[in-house]
Amino acid sequence: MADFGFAQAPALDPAATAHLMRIRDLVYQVAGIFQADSRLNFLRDRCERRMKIVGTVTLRDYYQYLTTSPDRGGELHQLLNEITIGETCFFRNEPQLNAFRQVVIPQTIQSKQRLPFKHLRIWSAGCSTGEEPYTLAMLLLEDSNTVLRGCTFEILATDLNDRSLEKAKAGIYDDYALRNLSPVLKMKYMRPRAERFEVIESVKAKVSFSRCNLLDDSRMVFMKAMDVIMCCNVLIYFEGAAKRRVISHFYNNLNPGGYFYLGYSESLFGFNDDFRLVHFPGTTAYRKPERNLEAGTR
Amino acid sequence: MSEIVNLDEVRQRIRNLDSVPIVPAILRPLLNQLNRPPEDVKIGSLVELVACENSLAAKCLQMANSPLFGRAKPVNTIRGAVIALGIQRLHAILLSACMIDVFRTANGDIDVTVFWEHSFACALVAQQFARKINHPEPEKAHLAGLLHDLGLILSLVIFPEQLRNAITASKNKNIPLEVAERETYGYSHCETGAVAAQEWRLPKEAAEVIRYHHTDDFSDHDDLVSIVHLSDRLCQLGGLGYGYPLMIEVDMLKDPAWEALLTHHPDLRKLDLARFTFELETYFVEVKKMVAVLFRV
Repeated sequence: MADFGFAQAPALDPAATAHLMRIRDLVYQVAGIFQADSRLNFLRDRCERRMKIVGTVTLRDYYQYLTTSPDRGGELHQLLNEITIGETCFFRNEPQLNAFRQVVIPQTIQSKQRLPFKHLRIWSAGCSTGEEPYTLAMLLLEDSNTVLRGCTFEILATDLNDRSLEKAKAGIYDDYALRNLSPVLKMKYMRPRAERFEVIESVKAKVSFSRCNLLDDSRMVFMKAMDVIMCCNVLIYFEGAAKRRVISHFYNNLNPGGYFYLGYSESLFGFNDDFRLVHFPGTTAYRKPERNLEAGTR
Repeated sequence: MSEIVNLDEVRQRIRNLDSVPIVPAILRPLLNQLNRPPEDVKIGSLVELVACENSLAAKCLQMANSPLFGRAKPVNTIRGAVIALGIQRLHAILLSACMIDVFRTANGDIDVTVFWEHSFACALVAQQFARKINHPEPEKAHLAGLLHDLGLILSLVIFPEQLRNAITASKNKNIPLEVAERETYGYSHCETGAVAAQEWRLPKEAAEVIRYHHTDDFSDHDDLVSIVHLSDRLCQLGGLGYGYPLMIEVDMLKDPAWEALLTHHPDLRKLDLARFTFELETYFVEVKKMVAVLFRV
């Protein structure tokens, strides 16, 4: 994780800390994203940015604003934007990608052992400007002669925002977006273009971008037979029944035994009982049970 | 293949450890206290015991002032530290501090702090876990968590070569350390730890946890064994394991320890395991600081 550099913030008095904890719990209950104690200073900083804009002075007033003002839904959305801002880049969540490459993909291929055509379908839902699906494509291309020998794969990448999708299709990024990309992979899968870098064709060919509203039921029922779905920092913007509906679409669209990845510190607790929580080193994910109810664990 | 050592030899080597200074002087009276019911423990004698060893006193003060214990005002006296920490936690800290002194010397190229970080993390996680499911004695979970890998720390001293081979095998084959230990020298830290627990007359529950925390069947054991087993896994997966990640997938709810716990602790069903996992990040940061303190003083 990035070092956010707020460790030096002056200590809060106990009452203010209590209100900050309340905001933390509210964000978790409504949006499902958790800020650990070690990130409370970060949360406080993000609240303070919003407090300046909405004109509240204390954390207590801001908590009130988040819970009782007519614009509480919109304000929570703005706060969530502040919490997740700047997180998009290539190779964003290393433990998650390690688990994807070293456990999830080999296990998924294993489960397709008996099929005549082994084909992997991966969906990056809420792909924003394309960093995540391109990262997955690079990882899978890296293993195409080993774990993925004899397999084909496709990555579907969807977003609601047309401008993000245009940028994603163009596949041109600055150094900041590539800060976690190793020099070897950068050399292999990117080519310089003006002051920036463009994703090469063989990577682009593995990803198909399209617009998708996750609340559009008629569209969601056509995203079938996925092996892995990644949906980072997207569900946090849905509430109540809509959130449950989106999650159940994801569940239905996964193959039995398929994996559902959320963003850093995101949870489905209280929103869905069908998925099983699984742990990997440094990260968690959700899994649709196998048909015979024997989701392969060890 | 490493040399296989039998458990009688392990016992003999543990007895020989008594020649290491400070352990018999502090550890024996401490363990005598530990075996008493809490209401019979004399605070005064504990304070005296701590005060007679400067490094221990310093450690206790630093611990009592750690943010993990969430004290608003700093603790300045040994007596204050003893009271702030509470008897069970104090025992755990003193015991580990004594053992760190013994074991810090004989490690070769293995970093002992890694094991202590894991042990402290497991102690904290086990205690929090016990609280969340309304176990009546979370302090016991703390002690049991702290000591669960006693056998490993002991192995570092009495047969470092074999343990090193087991660690290498565990890393290379991506298999749990206790399995690699059995493959390498015939038994695991559960068995060596059990011998030490017996020799040092550790409390019954802690000894049971040390012996059985990697068993397959938890139904006949104290709930603390299940709690520590699950906490151990959470620590390993959270990054405070033995210094290298095992690339595995774990479904905690299917763990036999989870199922065994459910029979006595229905509150486990209500536990938000995802949130609990995210909360651990904070403990782990503190644990690293705490172990650094223990090793510096």
